[in-house]
Amino acid sequence: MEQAGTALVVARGLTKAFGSLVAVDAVDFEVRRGEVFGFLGPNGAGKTSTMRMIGCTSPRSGGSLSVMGMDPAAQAAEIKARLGVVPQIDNLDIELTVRENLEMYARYFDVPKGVAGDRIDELLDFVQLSERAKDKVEPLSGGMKRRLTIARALVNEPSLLLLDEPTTGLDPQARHLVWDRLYRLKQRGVTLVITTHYMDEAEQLCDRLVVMDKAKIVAEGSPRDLINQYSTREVLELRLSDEQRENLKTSLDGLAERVEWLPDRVLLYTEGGEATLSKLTDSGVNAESALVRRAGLEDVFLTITGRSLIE
Amino acid sequence: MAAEVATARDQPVSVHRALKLVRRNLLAYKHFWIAFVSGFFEPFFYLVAVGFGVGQFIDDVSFVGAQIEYATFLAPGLLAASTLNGAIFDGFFTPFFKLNWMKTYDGIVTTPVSIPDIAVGEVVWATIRGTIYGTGFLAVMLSLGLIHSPWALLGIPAVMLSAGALSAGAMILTGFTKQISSLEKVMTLIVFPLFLFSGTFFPVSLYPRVLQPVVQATPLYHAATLLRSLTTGEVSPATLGHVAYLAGMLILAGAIAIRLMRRRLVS
Amino acid sequence: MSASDVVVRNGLVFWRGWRASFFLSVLSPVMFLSAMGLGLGSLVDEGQSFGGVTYLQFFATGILASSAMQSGVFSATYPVLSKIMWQRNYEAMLASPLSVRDILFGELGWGALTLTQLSVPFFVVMSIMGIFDSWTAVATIPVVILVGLSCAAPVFAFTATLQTDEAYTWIFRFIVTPLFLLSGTFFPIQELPAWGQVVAHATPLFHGVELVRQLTIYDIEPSALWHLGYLLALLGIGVTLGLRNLEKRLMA
Repeated sequence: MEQAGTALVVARGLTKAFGSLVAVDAVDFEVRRGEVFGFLGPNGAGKTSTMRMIGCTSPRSGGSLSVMGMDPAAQAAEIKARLGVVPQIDNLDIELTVRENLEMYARYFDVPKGVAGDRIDELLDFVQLSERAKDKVEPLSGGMKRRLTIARALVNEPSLLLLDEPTTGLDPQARHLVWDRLYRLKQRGVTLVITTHYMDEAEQLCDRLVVMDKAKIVAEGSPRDLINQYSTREVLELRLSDEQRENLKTSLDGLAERVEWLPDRVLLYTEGGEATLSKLTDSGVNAESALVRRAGLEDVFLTITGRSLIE
Repeated sequence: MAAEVATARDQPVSVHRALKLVRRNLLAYKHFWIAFVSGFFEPFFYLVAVGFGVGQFIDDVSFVGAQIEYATFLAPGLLAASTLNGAIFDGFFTPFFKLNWMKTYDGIVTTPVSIPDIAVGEVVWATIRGTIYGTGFLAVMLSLGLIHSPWALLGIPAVMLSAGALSAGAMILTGFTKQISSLEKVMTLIVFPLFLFSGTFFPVSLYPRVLQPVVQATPLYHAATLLRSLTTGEVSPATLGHVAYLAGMLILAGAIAIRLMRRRLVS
Repeated sequence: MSASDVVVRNGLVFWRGWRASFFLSVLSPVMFLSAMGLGLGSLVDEGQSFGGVTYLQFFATGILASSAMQSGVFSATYPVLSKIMWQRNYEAMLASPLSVRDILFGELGWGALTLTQLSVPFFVVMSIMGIFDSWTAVATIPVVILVGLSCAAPVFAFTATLQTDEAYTWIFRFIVTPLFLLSGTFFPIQELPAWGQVVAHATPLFHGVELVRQLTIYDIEPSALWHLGYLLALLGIGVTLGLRNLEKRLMA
């Protein structure tokens, strides 16, 4: 029996290499029972490779990995039996209907027939696809397919749910529905591991996260802790004309704790954005546009790596 | 460069899990049962057209020393050929698309069912389907008066063995064919010649001396000759040789196919 | 911009794989003719039944016409449906100055090229094997192309109306295969029961086979005009329907 506070996934020096290309470079992390754990990073950072190693569909090249106390190299089938996976690209069975996809999954997991029927009804209701149960999969919208994949991942009542970029490509309404379902799962005690490159998703859902960039983990902590550690409370975003950029190259430094020069904007990191903006206008500088906002994980990533999350 | 850790103990094949693929295919075919039923007609059309149509112009043909009617000669050959056709379709064509195009198997391997289970399951499915068609064709042969011996009852297990061996061979093709462009090459250079050089439409003795041993080494030749021996009653110890060949092929091809399929989807 | 642009685009796609494709399309007929034609040929009692030619000649000329039919029909099924529905190439083409007419004629033009590429090697192999008896055999290539296109056009019109590929199973199993087997390729249609012969006369492959044989191994008769007329009429009907259906489908 797993106790509260146990680590469901433990990785030490976990590595994945494809020939000479290192996709995951000796990373360490732990996922604790009952939390929502995130991998945040741009495309190509190594998130999907890491997820596939946890999901036992890709062998690791080095280091150690333990999932629910078992080693994927030795006990893949047992681990998979307790796992739910929502992949980045849908792989629903298009030759079957919505309901049949869930029925077959119940069989793959050896869910007893009597139990399966009721559970499938519940799941279809949970993801709001009950009316589409008899439809073929192909005509469904992207959001519906994603919801079906989530329902499918829950057929075996997993202790651990892996979701790779769960809302990429969905419209805002669909995204919010998915977030809501995931939040309810968390309330039921399911442990979730999510990868994403959306900072709002990471901030909204994750209890803790690691920031990945170029195969390594570059930061770790809760969203709030990371922002406090790597950024100020607020950010003043300015758009300046080329002439203004020339003139102000050095003189902005005194106004804020950090200044980040992006190709199209300048970011001033400060505890009080409005105050900084006033100081700026008082000194005679009128930017083409100015925006004051709260700092987010995008800024954390920018601070650490010098690049933005979305390229 | 570190070697990959998981080769330490690959998940062994489980028949219980493999059979789930059979279940899945049955479920899918419920939606296009017409395709299932219509597959029966093709060999029948060939039998009528070539066996009786062209057969009008053909005298008796020799088979292991006996003289038999052309239609009687052709029918078991067609049975074997359509079994091969089914094996290629269910063991190569369809799994190829499920694996590389439709992502069906991607969805399954996150469950305890692994790729080797899938390979075995698809071969079992192909065998079942081939046996059903084969049995139907045998019934047609009986009604057309083309069966001349009670040995033909063993035709059903013989079809099952042939379907199994040929499907396992087809799964090897799935194991190493990765792109659609390769599909055409495989069909033309491997599958198509198998049909043509197999003693299906006419006796092996008609091939040039040099080619005869080549023909006799091919799997379809053995399946066709085995079935022909059973339906004509020309059974001899040599018949066991064909059984041995097919059984050996089933085992060997099966092992190779599983090995090749393990490497797919694992990256 | 015109139909020739459609041809060029197909050509670009084809160019990349042409060597392999060419090799394969020569190999298949050679293998098939040697195995089936020679094999069956040595079994068959010839002479009276085949109008004074060997079975090999009879069979090979039939196969020439029927492989054009099969190739033509196939090229109007999956590849076209794919361009309409899954890869949506036609949609992309229509966003340029190309019209539906250009698309259809472009595909026909490309089909003609493909059929040429299919039949020329076949033709050369058959010449070497001494199958042809007459210099009019040269006219076979355009006739074979016509057979392929006449069979492709109606199928193209049908494909333009489809939402799934389910119907194709029926087409291949119950139309293409029986046509292939029973239109006089393997044996003269006189062997069919009377009603069967009537049906054969209504189908394109029979006419294609007859025409090819008259040009290559038999004497040309007035009926050649009838066969030719049938094929041209079928092509015309197919193209007309195809234009109408494709227009409806893509411009709706």
